[in-house]
This record gives sequence, C-alpha cells and structure tokens, in this order.
Amino acid sequence: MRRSLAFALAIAVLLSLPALPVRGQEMFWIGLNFEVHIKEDGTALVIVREHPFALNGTSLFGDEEILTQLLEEAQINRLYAALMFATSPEYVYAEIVDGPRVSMEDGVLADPLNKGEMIEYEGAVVTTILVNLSTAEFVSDLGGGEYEIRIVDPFTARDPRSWIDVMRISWDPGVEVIEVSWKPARASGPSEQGEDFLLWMNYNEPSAPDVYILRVRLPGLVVGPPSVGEVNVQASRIGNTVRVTLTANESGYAVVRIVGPGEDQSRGVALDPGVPSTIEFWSVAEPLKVEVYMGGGLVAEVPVSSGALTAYDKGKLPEGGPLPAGLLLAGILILLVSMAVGKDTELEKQRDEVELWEIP
Amino acid sequence: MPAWWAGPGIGLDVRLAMAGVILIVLAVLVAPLPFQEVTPTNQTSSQPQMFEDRMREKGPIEVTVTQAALIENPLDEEVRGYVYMAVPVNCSHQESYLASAPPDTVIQYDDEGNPFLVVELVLGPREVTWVNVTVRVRLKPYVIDWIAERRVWPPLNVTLLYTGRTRYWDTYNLTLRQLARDIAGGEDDPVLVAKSLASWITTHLEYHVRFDRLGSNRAVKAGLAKLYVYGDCTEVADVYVTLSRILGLPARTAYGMMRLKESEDVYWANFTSRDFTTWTGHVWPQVYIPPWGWVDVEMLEGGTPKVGDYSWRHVVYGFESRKFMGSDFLGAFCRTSFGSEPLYLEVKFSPGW
Repeated sequence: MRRSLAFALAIAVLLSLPALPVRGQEMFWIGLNFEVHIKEDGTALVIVREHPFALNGTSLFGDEEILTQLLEEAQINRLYAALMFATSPEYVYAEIVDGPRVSMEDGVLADPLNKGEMIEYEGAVVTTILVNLSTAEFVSDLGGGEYEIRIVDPFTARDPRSWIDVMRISWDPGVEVIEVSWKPARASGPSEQGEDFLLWMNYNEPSAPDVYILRVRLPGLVVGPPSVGEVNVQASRIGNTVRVTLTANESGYAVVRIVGPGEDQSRGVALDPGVPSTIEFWSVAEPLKVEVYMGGGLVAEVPVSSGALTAYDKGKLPEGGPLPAGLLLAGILILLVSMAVGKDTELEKQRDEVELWEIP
Repeated sequence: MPAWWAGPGIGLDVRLAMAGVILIVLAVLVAPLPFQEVTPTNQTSSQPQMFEDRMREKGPIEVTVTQAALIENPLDEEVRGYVYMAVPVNCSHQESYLASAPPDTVIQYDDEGNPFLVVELVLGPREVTWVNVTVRVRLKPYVIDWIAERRVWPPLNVTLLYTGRTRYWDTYNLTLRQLARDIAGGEDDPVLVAKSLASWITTHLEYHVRFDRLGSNRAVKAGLAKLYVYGDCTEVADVYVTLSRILGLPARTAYGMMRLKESEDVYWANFTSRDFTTWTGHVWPQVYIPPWGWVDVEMLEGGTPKVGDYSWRHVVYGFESRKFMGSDFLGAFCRTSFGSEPLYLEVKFSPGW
C-alpha cells in the first residue's frame, strides 16, 4: 500500500530558511498486489496490480482523473520491478512486456484500515515486467547449480510506511525452490503455499517482509554481470605516479583500482565514446596492477609497467640523476676545452676564413 | 657566424663547442622538466618526507533532543496505525542514545542503516495525540587541516558502493559530466577535487527555497553565459554529489538539522497546519577521503565553502547513498500510516544531558 498525490509535494523539502505550509491535493492509498513468476529460462515475470482507494477504504477506481494518473505512473513500475532485484536499474535488465492496462477481471486485496482482514477491490491497473535474473545484482551463485534470489520490497525501501499488500511468488515446473526465508525476522511468513507458489498476505507494514529470499535450483540461469561495451586500458608508472588511461566504445562509468602489496586505491571514471580518460594515482607500493570494474563486475586487469628510469615529483628543483648529470658535465667540459683550444688557434681560424672568401 | 659567438678575446673551437652544446641539450632532454625532484626508481619504496593532513576535534558537545509529533486520525472510526519517526544517528562524529519513547516503540533501520522509530497507536475517531521522544546526542565537531602534499583515493569497496547513479544523481548526464571536468577534471588529488566543486557551487548558486526535489539534472540550469545551481540545500547537495561521483570521488548526502544557536532552541520540522517560525532541516554532502572516511562538505554555512570543517550546528539524522529512488526520510522526519501528515512536529535542542 502506498500513498499518492500529496506524496510528490510532501517529499524532500528541507530548507535552511523559514518556509510556508503547503496545501497538497487529497491523498489516497494504492493497494499493491505483486506476483513474481520465476521461469525456467532464468527470467522472471513481475505482474503488478494496483487499485486506488480513499483513506477510509472507499474504492476510487471509478475516478477517471485518478485512474489516468495511475496509468501514467504505472510506467515507473518498470523501475520498481528492477529495484526488486538490484540497487539500481543499471544492474538488472527489466522491460514492460504488457500494460499498463485497466482490467476489470483482476482484483486487488488490501486491508485499508489495518483491521486484520483483506478487502477485495474489483478492477486493477495491471502492468507486466520481464526481468532477466541472470543480470540481477540480487541473484547470487551459491555453487552446485543453486542460486539465492533476493526480492526486495522497493516501496518499503523508499518510504517506511509503504509495503506490498499481497506478494505471490510462483515458479515453473523446472524450477526447484529449496529454501525460503524473509527479512526482518519479525515479519510474517507466507500465509499460503503450494508446490509451485508462496503467498504472503501483508496486513500492515510491520508484518510485511522487506526482503523475500529464495534458494533455488534453476537450470536455465547463468549468473553474470550485465554486458558492457569494450574498454581499452593502458597503465604506466613514472616513479610514484601511476597513470591509467581508459578508452571505451560507448558511454559508461568505470571504477579503476590500483592494487598491490598494502595498496588498494580506486577512482571512478565517467567514460564517453572514443574519448580517452586519464587519471593518476600516487602510490609507493609495487608491483601494482590495475583492475577496471563496470556494471559491478571486473572487466579488465593489466599490470602496471614502469615508464622511465627516473621518477619525479612536482615542485622541486632537479637534484640530479646519473645519466643527465653525466651528459651535462661532459658538455660543459667540452665547451671549456673548446674555448681553450679556440684561443690558441684564433689567428689561424681568421686566416682560414679570409682564404675561404678569397677562393671563388 | 654572429659577432657574439667569437667576440674579441673569446676564442672557440667550433666543432668541440658544438659537441659540448649537443651533450648539454641531450642532458636537458633526458632529465625531467625543470622544477621537479628526481628520485631514482629503486628508491620509490621509501616514502619521502612530507606533511600529513591532521584532524582537530572539538568538544564533545552534549545536547538533549526532544522531538514531539502531534498525530491525528482523520477518519470517523477507530484506526490502528503507525508513526515512523527519524532520530539522530550514531556515526563517526556523533553519538546518539534513545532516552525515552512511547511504550513498545520499536527501533528499525532502513537498508542504509539509518535508524527510525516505529510507534504503534490506536486512535479513536478524529483523535489527536502526541508522540514524544527524547534522544541524547554527543556532537564532535572537527576541522581537518589539509596540509599534505599528496593523498590517496578510497579503497575499491567504497568506490564501488558510492559512485553509482541514482534518480537524483545522474552521473550519465553529459552536461554535468562536462561541467565536472571543466571544474576539476584534471585534478588527481581527492581533496582538491572536493574543494574545487564546493567552491564552484558556492559561487554559482541561485538560492531558492523549493518544495520539491529537483535532482541534479534539473537543478543545474543554463544562464546567459554560464551554468549555475538553482534551488536550496537539497539541490546544492544533489549537484555536489553528482559532480563528485562523475569525477570518481565517492559521495553521499547527510540529512538532519542545522541548529541556529548553541543555547536552547525549538525548531519546527515539517509542513503543518500550524504556523511556524524556524525551519532548520538541512542536507549536505559528504565525500570519502582516506584516512578520514566520510568528510563533511558545507556550502551554505557562512559565505565560504567548507570541506572537513564541521560545526556544532549539524545534527545528523541519516544518510542517503545508494537508494535509487531517494529516501523519504530525507524530506520528512516523521510519517504516519493514518493518512495524514503529523499536524505538528517540534524538535527542541537543549544543551547538556
């Protein structure tokens, strides 16, 4: 159940100056019934059913303005579906495959006045989202063909008084659910369960799980980070300065790490297509290697090669080095010798010059 | 041959002189650029002598925080509901202890570790009641003297967690990317990056109180000749975090209160049906700089930006760092499930415990 309308006005207003009270529009609640169906092929269908009602529990499904608003807002359900399986939509693939549409054949259960009994509201705005579990941040490989799937209530995560009223988790025959748990522990367990489904009836926010956790065997699932574009990495070292240059073929964001004995530094880099991005780290540790992470996964690893015999630091006068110092001394010495030799042969040189002019 | 090359009394052997000049030129080419210290590679493992940043802590300052929320059941029938109230957190420069709360109050934590209280109430038709909470807080203001010549960047686990994109921090926005690079793109010292961004925002801010949260994409606007930040502390913090993350420096926002005076004072903390005089809700950014961890950045306290200069005015209620859709508590200290906002929310700060 989540609030709407006044929500947008009430949120995020923190000021350092005196402010005026705001009169918002009338508030209403939205009953939220979710079904997550895990498929054999490693995807999941998230079916969202929503129904608006007034604070006293009266259905507002007949209110055209509210219904229109609900349909427009339903687009954001793709985002919420993604956030059930990842901290960011970047870390999971999700797309709306059906809806949002108004269905009078569907209904929504909710307990609007927290009386411990669900009321069935006729009609729902239905949206179906396909989620690729193989790219999901909250799906982890436990080994032996087993995976842990964490399904987060994205409404509670944002606003503590919101929750999913009814959560049904179901699965294909080829999917084996080995263990089920939920967080926090004070929340209620499933009120109903069958061979291929679990059903939570969440009468209020405290009794609703924030996270639903399944340990499954899923033959069609191969977990891995989302695919990222190509990135070229070059790393070199000049003394204590490690320079890393990244070039990507598409826009993205990478985290560059230099790692070695006692060393672990990292910095993010915003990547634009075809544009090299260079960053520098200061480190005394060696040997070092550079790791590049994109989309939450390691995508490149290169050793740091030494770039020169000498190292230098900004802001100080040269203190010398074996090769340049030797060259400098030799050059000065030869110049001095040339001056000494030149004095002895000055007259002869002048004669040579005259002769040169005289011979055509 | 020019006259200055072999003037009266100065004789030169040209071939030898040329050889000498060539060697000198070679020496200059092989040697590093002027004004740079040269150190043999095999000596890189020994850290050169240099200054280190140092932190000076003030206080601690003990404060009693009394929060009172007036809750209403707007319906004509009895309702069992819940009040969710944010409270000061425990963090590196603040200790918080819950001193009193209504019976059966439950402390919960959101997925970023921020505590909040859940109070269950049964209210009759149109009934109004107070929820009172007392928290004792020990504040530890600090100042970091940034005197080091070089600094290191955060470890991987921090950078991976705190450089991502959210709804309000769009690190993929090309205008913001270019802006970040223009401000501090060539800088490789995390503190100088943090200072550059704070300085730019302070000098390119058009402060306007907002009743909604714009996010960095809408908070940076194009003027006649330059970009500027439009909004209040929320927009300032959102833009700062976005630019910082674009430049690779982990950042997040802290939210809470900014006290106006050290003596006892009362603040109103939500939009209520009552008039109020002083609102001090505040949001400010933090950046992660080793070895200090999260360092506070304040751009709206006095006229100058402050990086690592954290005053007694700040009381932290929570952090927003990874929630893609943002945190509701960032904008409200108290929520209810009764269908109406608290009629009134008062926060009193009293010196001492």
